[in-house]
Amino acid sequence: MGMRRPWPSRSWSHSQINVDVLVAYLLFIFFFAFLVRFSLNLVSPFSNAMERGKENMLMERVVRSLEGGVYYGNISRLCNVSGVRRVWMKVKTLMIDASQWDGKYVNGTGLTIRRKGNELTLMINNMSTTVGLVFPGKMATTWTFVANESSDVVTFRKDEFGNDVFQVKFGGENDYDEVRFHFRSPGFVTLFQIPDLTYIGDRNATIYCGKDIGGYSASTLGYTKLVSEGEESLARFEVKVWW
Amino acid sequence: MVVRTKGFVRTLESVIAMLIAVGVLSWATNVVSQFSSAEAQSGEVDMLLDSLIDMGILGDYLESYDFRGVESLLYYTLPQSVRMKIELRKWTRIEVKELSGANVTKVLYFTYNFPKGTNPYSIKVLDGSYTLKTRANWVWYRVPITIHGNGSSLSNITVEVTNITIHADGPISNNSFVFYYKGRETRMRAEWEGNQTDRIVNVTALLPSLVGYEEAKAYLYYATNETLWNSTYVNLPSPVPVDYEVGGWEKAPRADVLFEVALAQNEEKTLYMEYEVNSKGGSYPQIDREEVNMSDVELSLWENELKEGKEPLFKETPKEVEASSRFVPTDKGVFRIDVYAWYP
Repeated sequence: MGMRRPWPSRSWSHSQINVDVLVAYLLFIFFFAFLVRFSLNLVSPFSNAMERGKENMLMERVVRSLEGGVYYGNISRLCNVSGVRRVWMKVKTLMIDASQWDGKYVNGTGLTIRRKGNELTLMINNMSTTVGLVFPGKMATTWTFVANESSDVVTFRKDEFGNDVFQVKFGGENDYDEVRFHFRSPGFVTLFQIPDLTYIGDRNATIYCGKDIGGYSASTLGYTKLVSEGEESLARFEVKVWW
Repeated sequence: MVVRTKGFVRTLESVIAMLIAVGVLSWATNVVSQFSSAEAQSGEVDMLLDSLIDMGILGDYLESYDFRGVESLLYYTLPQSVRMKIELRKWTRIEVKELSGANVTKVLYFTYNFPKGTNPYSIKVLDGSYTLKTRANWVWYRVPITIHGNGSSLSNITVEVTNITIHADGPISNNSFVFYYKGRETRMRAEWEGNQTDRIVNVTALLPSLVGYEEAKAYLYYATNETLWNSTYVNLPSPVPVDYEVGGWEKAPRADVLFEVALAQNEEKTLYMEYEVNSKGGSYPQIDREEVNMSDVELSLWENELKEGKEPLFKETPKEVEASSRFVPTDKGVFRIDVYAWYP
């Protein structure tokens, strides 16, 4: 009498791979992964809703405090916005008011613009850079190089809007350069960016508001009136806030 | 190994279905993020406009009707890759008074100097929120003239400008010649020879001042006989010799505006004329010039100065772009500016 084996003897070598089962496993894995990801996407907005609400409220407060003007030396007042733990701000000056007298503007790399009467002076020490200035046509501007060498060049053109556009290239690494612009009528002088070169109006500031950093952050950008060392200008800001 | 075809096909179907589902989700996410980016950009333009208005820069440009200057402000301040177009709307006040003591409905007219770039079909006269039947006839031409000072300070001098070549697409009205000097109409006399549409004109005009070596701008305006304008020419003292340059004739941004208004007996009414700059479209109802009746009515305009600024440069805008709009109060009245900005 033959004994019946408790289970059939099957070696792998003789097994039949059931494609249906294999595919079902694969499908299950894909479906499960997809379901988890999909569910997380659905859930995350709800789970972050509180933080998003707080972000909207905080950013609105920050933007409101920047609207209508900001003093560059007093950016730390952004710390007064309730709930802010750290602020980073980049300011790009776009336009200088040349209707006021005796102002001075220094950018992050040490380039200085001084305005006195109907004269705007660019001063730079030991640096190679190229800067652009746009004077409205009605300002009737002329220019003079006070201190220069062969590597310093001013190019002039009229743009399609009727403005006088100057590009000033300061070439020397170890010298002092100065160029003066004389204008007949007051107006706003635009500083414009020349691609791939240092922008004349860039200034950065990071403020720690006296508390530990980390946590959530958000950023925004906009335009405002910037007041710095007697100079009133139009500036574009980028601000990042941690809370 | 046996491969079951039916199972394989079903698997393939499932995988394709999943891929389609993932694709649709990605597309929907992208669409939503595009909307968010457009909103952010619109907010940036809004904030820029607010800053330019607060600092008085935008108002300065608008007061001088320098719309190309406004474009320049935005061109150099918005990120370099942004493209844009501006449209403007302006209102000017008209005072009308009925003098006959009767209830009347009349067609009235005035001749107005518009800024360059005005949409010729955008002119409306408004009575409160009601738009009156209005038509603008663009029948005016002009010749620019530059008068050079001789170094001395002269005032109330008569000058003669000769050999001004003019042309019009219709017969030129003999009573339409008007001389503007430094933006103001001056007393003048005109003589001409030639045919109905092409003439050579000599003008004698009284100039209030010519100082030093200034280059003063003047214009000789004239219209076809479709105009309702009627000039008064005067005799003037002998002219002082001056140097001058005469430009070529051009279509003038000046029109006769006809409108129909109902007035109660002795009523004084304040109306507003609205016009648009750099916009497109529009049409007018027919109003014949013979319908105009200015008797027993007093009409005065709040301002009618020459507007010397340049018209906007950028004309095109994609259909789906929404405008950022602001009202800008100035000493020359209220402007509304619409800025369309988009990334190409």
